[in-house]
Amino acid sequence: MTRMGKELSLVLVGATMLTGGYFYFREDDHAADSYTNDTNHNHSSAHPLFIPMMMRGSSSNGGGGASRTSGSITRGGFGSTVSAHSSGS
Amino acid sequence: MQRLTHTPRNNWQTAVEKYGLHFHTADGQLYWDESASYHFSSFEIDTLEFATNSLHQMCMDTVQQIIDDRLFRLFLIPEHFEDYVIKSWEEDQFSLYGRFDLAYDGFIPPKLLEYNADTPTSLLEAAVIQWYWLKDLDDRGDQFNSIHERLIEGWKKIALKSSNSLHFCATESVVEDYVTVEYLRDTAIQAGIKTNYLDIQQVGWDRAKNTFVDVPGNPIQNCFKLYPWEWMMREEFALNIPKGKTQWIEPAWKMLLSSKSILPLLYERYPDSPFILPASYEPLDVANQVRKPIYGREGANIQVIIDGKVVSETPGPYGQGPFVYQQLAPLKQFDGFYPVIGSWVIDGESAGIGIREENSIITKNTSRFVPHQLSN
Repeated sequence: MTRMGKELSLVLVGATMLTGGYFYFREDDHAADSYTNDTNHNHSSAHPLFIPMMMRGSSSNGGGGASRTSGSITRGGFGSTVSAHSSGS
Repeated sequence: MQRLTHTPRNNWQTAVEKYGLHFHTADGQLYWDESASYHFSSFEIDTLEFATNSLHQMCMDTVQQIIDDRLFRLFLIPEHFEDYVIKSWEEDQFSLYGRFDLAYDGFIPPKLLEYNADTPTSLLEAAVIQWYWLKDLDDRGDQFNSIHERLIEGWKKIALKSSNSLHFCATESVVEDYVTVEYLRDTAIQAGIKTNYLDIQQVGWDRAKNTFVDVPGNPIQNCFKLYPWEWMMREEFALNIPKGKTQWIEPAWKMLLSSKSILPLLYERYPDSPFILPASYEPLDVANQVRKPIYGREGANIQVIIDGKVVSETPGPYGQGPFVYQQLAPLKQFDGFYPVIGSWVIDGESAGIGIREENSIITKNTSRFVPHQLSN
């Protein structure tokens, strides 16, 4: 039988991730980058970004699968089903 | 196996929010419910662990059969997508996790209800929240739960294979999905992997380079997506998937296990297994059975048939089917509630459980998560 025998730790998820109805995920990326840099010695930049939190069943991105193209890159080709359903199971 | 009631911690909302569970209450109804817990003996936990490992092996063998016999139509996989599914299997593309939903009462062998093999959630609750609940309740208490450590160990296999950044995608407007992915990203970071997050709708396709790209335009080499394959392969970018080099986690072959279409094949292959209920693509010749849409999610469009009559049916968007029929599992009530064991498979092995309970025999997205512990 496998049992958890030690304390676990979180470096990203926690009280600072969701605050006052807003995601602060890019700020959390500072923590993620800091942690990974300590072990991998990589570098990246991060900028604060605030995205309003909505409950399940709604979408902050419009949904509908309307893709948009800029140069050779097209976006929006995934995610058209999400406006109606949760992705989890 | 017992259900015992407790007085919730005075500060339970703050306690669970501290570790990211901000969706403990939805529409005024509890989702995280620590007014009760389930208690298991060591024998019962050993039984669940054995059943989980056995089921996983049976599932893997059945995937091989599906591939060999090209049974993809049973899973509504488009013909142009079949070779990609085969490739993902033959390349042994990395699978991190899955969750069997089991009917279990401590007496009969656990019975497989379904395998959430592609986009399982309830993960943070099972791995972290119920563990800290137990530590607050009884610091010396124990739990069937090594999910967190096993996730980190699982990610290390990816870290060894590739030094590329690992992208994580979800539908960030769905808080449960977003938190699940951020928790998984947390464990990947602890495995030493450089990570990035982007919404599934931000994933780009660079037609000049024939590759999926992130927001700045960098190629996405490895991507964990909390987004079902059965949706991906029907959306605008579907035809690009086989052309791109992105390694998706979970891989495409997991959609064979996450569909209820696997249930009749498992029964056909293992009719004598104590863990597998009779199932068929046609109505069964039994009085009590359940009709399930093959790609239904979160208890939608489930029809319960007792003594040959439909006694309950949940609403949802999957009413057109196709369906499979599964013999009704002998679910036992505990204080008027029906528990379903979510048994986690991490990197191919049983790793712990979480429990959802409901007033009816159909587990839905609103069913409460109730913690567990091992009896002394």
